[in-house]
Amino acid sequence: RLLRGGTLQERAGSDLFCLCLLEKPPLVISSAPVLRGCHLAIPSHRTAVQAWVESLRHYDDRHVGLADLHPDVFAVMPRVDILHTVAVWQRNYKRISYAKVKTRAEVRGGGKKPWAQKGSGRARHGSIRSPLWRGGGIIHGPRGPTSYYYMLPMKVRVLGLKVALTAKLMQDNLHVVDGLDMPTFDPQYLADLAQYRRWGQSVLIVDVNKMPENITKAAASLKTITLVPALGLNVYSLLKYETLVLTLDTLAFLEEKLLWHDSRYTALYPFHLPYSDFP
Amino acid sequence: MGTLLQLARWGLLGRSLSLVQTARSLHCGVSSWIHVKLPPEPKEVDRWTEKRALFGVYDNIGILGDFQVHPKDLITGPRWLQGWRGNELQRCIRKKQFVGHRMFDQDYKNLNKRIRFLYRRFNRTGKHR
Repeated sequence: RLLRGGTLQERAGSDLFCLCLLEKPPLVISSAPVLRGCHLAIPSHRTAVQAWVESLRHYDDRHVGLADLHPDVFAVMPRVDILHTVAVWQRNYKRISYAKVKTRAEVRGGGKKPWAQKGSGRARHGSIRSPLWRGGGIIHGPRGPTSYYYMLPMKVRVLGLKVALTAKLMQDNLHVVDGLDMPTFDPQYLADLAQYRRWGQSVLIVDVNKMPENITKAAASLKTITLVPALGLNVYSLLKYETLVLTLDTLAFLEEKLLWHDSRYTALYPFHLPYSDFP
Repeated sequence: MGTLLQLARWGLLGRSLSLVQTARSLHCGVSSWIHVKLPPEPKEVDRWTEKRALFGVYDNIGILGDFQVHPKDLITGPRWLQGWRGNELQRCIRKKQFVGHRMFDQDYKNLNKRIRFLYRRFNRTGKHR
């Protein structure tokens, strides 16, 4: 409830947001903007792409600073075919189809010849479970649990991530946030913030570090706003969710992980075994 | 739906108003009503269940996580099929290797019959042998 000039106003749910709207925005404590430069070397013929750094502390904190993003991760060629390849791979590689039908050998019964070969006037048959019969076996049906597993080359999967991140940035669906600190754990605050800043119908929030409690509680009850650790970033989710929200630490993490593949030696043995020069 | 905020919440949650299918009847003439069957209504699918919202998460755990885990370790299913693919004969042989020792009697015999049949089919008949 909001008490204003003697009248009682009831607002279902969004009291705190209401309060934020009606009061003046709080004074910014540190007026220095957050500037994030790219930690890894950028090729000399390219320049960094930039994005605003926002904050979740106030509903209108949209210009806290500026972040430089590496062009070889956030400004690659928009390869839609690679996006399709990687998304289809994600859908299928873990698919196991459990469809199975019995062949004439597995259907119960049908060992005996139903009637003599000649003399009865009926068509000749050897078993009542042949595929011609009702209740008989199926010849070319699905057989047993089938797996559709395959792996795309590592560099294709990496490039898919880069293209997806590029697409999000170029289509104004990428937002960089300095941290996931929220003033309340009210899910309504998060939903209204996303709606006010025109983030879209669905938001994917990615962070490397452990997420604060407020935002975990808020996103737990929301269907279309999801928190995901940085290890869980993938092309399918980027295509499903309209907006992507990254923290500054996640940017550094992603750039480091994705750029390494541009200039690595080919694997002589799988990477999960120890290498002397790669930690 | 009252206020703008409530409308937005409705939209964010992705709900839709459901239409009730009513069977129509045409009246033609004096006493005969023809029952017109309408096509079935498309079933309402919730695109934001937990499974659908989190589909594909951790598929890049190898690339983004120091290669200690491979995405094939995430696959749940029969153990002889996790992170492996083969045609029917290969699948039968692999199943026999993994779980043949503890299968039921009739299933084991059917598996052996199938392996025998497929071996002969693939290696002795047709153009490719």
